[in-house]
Amino acid sequence: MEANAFDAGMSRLKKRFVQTHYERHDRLEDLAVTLQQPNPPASAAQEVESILHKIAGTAGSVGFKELGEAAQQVEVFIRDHAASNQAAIVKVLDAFLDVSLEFCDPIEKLMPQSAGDGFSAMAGTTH
Amino acid sequence: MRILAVDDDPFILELLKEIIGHIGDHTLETAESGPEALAMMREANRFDCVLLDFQMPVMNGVEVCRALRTLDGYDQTPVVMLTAMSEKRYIDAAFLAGATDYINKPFEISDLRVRLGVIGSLVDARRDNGMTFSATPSGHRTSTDNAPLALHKPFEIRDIDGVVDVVALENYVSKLSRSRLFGSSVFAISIRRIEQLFMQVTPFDFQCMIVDVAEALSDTLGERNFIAAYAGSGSFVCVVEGAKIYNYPEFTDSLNLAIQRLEMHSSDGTRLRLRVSTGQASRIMWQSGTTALDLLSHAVNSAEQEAVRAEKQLDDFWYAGATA
Repeated sequence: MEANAFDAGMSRLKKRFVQTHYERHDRLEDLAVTLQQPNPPASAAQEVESILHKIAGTAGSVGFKELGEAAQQVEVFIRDHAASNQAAIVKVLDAFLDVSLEFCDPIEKLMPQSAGDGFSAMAGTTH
Repeated sequence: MRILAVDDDPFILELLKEIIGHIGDHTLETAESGPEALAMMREANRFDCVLLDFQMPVMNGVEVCRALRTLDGYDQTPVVMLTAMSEKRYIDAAFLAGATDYINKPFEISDLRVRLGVIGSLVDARRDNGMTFSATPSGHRTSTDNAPLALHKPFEIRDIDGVVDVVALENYVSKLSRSRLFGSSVFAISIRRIEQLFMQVTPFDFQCMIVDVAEALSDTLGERNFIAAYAGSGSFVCVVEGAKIYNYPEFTDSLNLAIQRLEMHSSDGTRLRLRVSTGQASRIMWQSGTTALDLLSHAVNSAEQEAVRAEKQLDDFWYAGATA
């Protein structure tokens, strides 16, 4: 009974993560465009790093280990090269967005169609 | 345990509530920033353990850790960094700020369960022993408890740069080894004739003497990246960046000179003359947690053997001189 409650709680969190990830992915797409402009604001790279940091810290705990590892690699790269290599940052961010898209697509198929249904389908989803 | 988790990501806090509620007899409160956490801790001494994110706006985890160590009732509360920051410089900064352990996100539930179990045992032991801190004449602090001081027993030393408690140092070495961060080496120093010194002075004088040696060690290691802890029996174990780049005889001479300059005395005015020996250094390689900790034991054993050898050599020298 207790294990069931835990599984249900984790599944709920997994669903929350997926919903948030769609928003984060869209924001990273916008920031990738910003970073390709001449003289982008420093805050753009900082925001990318912050979003990736959050993905890196949580994805693995809800079953999306590869997504989290990819986010961490790009986050560390940006932290180490933020001031010096804008073009490389855009490149690695694009690479991450490709990885992220692969996660978004199958996740989307499993998303509940309305607020009250379909959640049990998420319970066993891991990547 | 009563646990406070501090993270600017509400999702992590929710995840922790779910997991910690499942893995043991713990209660969890949460804060989304360092200032909020410090305000909660100032209200009452009600947390047994603090889980701290590293990267947060306003105050990062290291700043929060340093600040909470100054709050009444939190000088010995275990602080576990729970962070996605995996580079060595962050690990070093966390332990130097007073963190007890370092767990990388994303965390495994089983790992969190084990670490919290260990922290729980530490909290119970400190509470049972009535551990508190006393100021030394040199302006530092050292831990004391209800049990009589035994020579082999490590105690905590506070307010000296680079010096942490031995539990934190063990966790630090395990963390470097598990994370395959192999740039560091471990060595120990040992005070010669330590049994004689231990018998010669009061327990508190002995602790003050050890604190003075810690200060000399910290000054001698100076600007080098290092973390050291008192391991008991007059030995300190040190982790330094780099592998065998030290000129250890020269380091030992400098440390002994720094100790002499402190002109240590016991509280009855007796001059304490002591010297240290340095053991062999070993490089941190990938090892299981237990084997990584064996490195610390080997370092201490090597320093203690060197201390005995050096004293015997001195005795032989005097004996040879007397019979010549």
